[in-house]
Amino acid sequence: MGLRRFLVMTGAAVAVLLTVLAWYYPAGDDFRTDNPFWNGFRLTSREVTLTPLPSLSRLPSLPAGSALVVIPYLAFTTAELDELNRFVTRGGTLVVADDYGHGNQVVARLGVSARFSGQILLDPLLSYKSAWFPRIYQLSSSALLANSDNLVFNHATALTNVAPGDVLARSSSASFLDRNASMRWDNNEVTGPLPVISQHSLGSGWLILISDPSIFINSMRGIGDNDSIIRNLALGAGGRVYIDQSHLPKSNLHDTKNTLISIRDYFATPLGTLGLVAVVLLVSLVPVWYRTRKP
Amino acid sequence: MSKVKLHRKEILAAAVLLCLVAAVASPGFSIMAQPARVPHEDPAQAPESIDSISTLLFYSHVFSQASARRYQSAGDMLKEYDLARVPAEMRYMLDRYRALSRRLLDHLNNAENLLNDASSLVSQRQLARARQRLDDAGRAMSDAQIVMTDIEMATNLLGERTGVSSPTASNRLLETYQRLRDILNRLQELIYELDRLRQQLDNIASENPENPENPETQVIIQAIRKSASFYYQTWLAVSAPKEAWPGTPITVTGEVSSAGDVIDRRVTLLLDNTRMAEETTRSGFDFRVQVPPGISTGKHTLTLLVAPVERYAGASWSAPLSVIRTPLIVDARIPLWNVMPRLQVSGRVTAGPMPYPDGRVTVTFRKHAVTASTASDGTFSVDLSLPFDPSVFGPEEVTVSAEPKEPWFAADSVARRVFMIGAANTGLMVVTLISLGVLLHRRSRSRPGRPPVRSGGVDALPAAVGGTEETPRRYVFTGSPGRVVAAYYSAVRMAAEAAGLLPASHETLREYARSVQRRIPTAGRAFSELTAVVEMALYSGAGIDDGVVSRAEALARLVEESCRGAA
Repeated sequence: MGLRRFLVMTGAAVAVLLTVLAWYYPAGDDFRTDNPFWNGFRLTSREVTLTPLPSLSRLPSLPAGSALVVIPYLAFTTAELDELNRFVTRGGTLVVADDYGHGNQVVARLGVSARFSGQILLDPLLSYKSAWFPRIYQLSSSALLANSDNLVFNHATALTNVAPGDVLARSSSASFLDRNASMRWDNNEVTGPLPVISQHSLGSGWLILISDPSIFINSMRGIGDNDSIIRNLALGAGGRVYIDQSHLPKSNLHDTKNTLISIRDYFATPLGTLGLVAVVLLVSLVPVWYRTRKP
Repeated sequence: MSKVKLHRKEILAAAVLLCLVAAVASPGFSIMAQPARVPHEDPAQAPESIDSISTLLFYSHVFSQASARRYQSAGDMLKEYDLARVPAEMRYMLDRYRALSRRLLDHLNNAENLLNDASSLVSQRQLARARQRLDDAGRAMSDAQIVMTDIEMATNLLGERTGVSSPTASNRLLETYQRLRDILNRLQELIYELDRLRQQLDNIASENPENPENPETQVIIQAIRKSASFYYQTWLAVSAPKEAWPGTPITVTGEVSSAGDVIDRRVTLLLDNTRMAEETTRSGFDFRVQVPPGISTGKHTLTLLVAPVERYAGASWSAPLSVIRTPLIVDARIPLWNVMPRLQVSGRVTAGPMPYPDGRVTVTFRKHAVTASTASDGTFSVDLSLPFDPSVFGPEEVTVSAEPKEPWFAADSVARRVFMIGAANTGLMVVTLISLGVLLHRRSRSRPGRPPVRSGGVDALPAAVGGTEETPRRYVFTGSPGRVVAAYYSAVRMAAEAAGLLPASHETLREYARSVQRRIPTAGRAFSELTAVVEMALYSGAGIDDGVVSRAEALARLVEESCRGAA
């Protein structure tokens, strides 16, 4: 076998192997519905059938009765904020789950006075394993928190400027906002109870703010009653729960998968299929014709 | 041999280089990489840590609330401490500390309430009852003082256990402990102040029975009332259902009563956090409300609130309400395999034992869905026309879901895997397989012949010296070596005729000789000797004489005879 031929075959084999690996190996991106690892959403999305949205332009035109979960780790454009506003005011339930992202951009656009503090919420006493996992026991009676006794957050923040009647859940009296990240309470730091979940009526719909998106990840399932929130959300929305995936940071593997999906979708069209058939025939029959013509 | 080694090294180096280039250049190279900033951590891997200093800080906050006479808030904080994570070795002591704190709050709250009652009675000139309240308040304060002393001792112990006395105690620990002690001192001051007020009011009740309105009395009464949070207690008696169905009405009845006079009270009914109804009443109330159709099934909470009015305390009552839905059942007949582009699904929907008519049934396959309604007997039949999609081949999931019109029924769905056969991709596979088959067949036909099987394959004989016109001439030997080779070939031909044994192209002369010896033992020895002679003729640098040639021809004749005998 010649060297050139060997290199071509090796190159083709490596390309195929990398393609297969990129296709099947799950991406480890945070909050992705196809991520089965501890920081993904695959288990959650299988239990309650979350519909991932690659773009907010794919929101239903009649959102009444449906729910949308947004984890705003990337900034929104004006058009996207308008889409969210339309979604809520026309009867949808918008859940903004944020800790250190761009949640305040969404809330401000919707005209709500509540804000995500952005400071770290620690609870050294009522927590799971350490102060980074505050337990939330002060739960108001609500449809979202039905069948829940406590929630466990994971590197969370708190909400500020929330009217008492809008608060659905509060942290404990032992919690505090660690303004200077010293991991201990200092005299000028705000102590609990602090609002961590709130609900606001907007137009025909509802806005729900949750100060920690990590309660939905795979590894937080089964800890406390975290599962009940997404379950109650799905029940209230009749199973139509969408989750925005367009404002999450993307890894290279994720981009590669999208590229491969685009290629596959192209070959799924009639023109693409025809082209593929032609290529296969060409590759397989040209050597035959070549040998036939060879004297 | 060295040339072969060099070629392999080149190939290996090229392969490794190619793999490296592909890995670096591939857009999916960062296949194992995680995002740069992770806003959470894996709880399974998180280390466990308990901070005993936080306990001291927590109690300083509790007693701070108590020293500001916010006993309810302090009590709520203590309730939360039941759920706190504390060092196991301190659990008993902290439980005792919490119990003492709880008792102190109860005594202080009781004492203030009694003082407030006493002040009201003094204002109403009911001095005998006022003095009785003051005596009770005095006992409550004595109890509070006893508990306060116990708490002081317990705080000392707590400090020792957390290492306050240790020379290596951190500044944070020392500051927190000192803060707790300062707040306990303030709490002690509060007890002294309340007792002083009690004594003053007692003096007034004893010495000035006719002048409860004098300024000095009013100053004391105001001082006591400043601290009180509750006046007349309010009670609620409620009757409410424990189960409900969405979209159906429920009735909640009851009665509100208070110590003191009967007045108008506002009663509010909430379901979870939503206000359902409100009424103003002097005693009984009767609410009839509809459970929202979109409410989720499971445990909810009914709450009744009575708002506080002037000196009348508020009250609340809550109880769980279980919301249930009767589930629909979908019995769908879905085929195990199906040829595209059509898919037919039929079945029946029931609610309990009864058929469910006019229900909406949706059959979904990938992104395509068709909806139909159930007939009066609950049956349905759906025909799904699927568009062209060459990627569909193999097991695919088909879902049949039924949605009810009424909110007191629950939806149901069934999913099955159907083996889908698509005409387009089946045709593509057939074309591909046929073309590959044609290619392989053509290649196998044009390939040169393989070495013969021992049992009877015929190979082209190497060209013999002076060979016949039918055999191709590859070697031309002249002279004595040629005669030796001719004799050898003659022997080979005889062996081939006798035993079907031809030399393979990869076989050496000696290997072939061994094969002949195995198959034709009688000719073996002669053939082996003839092989040695022909090797000498072919490879020896020196020439061979006629004796060797004669010997070779004689050996060939012997082989010929032996082969004839063997045949």
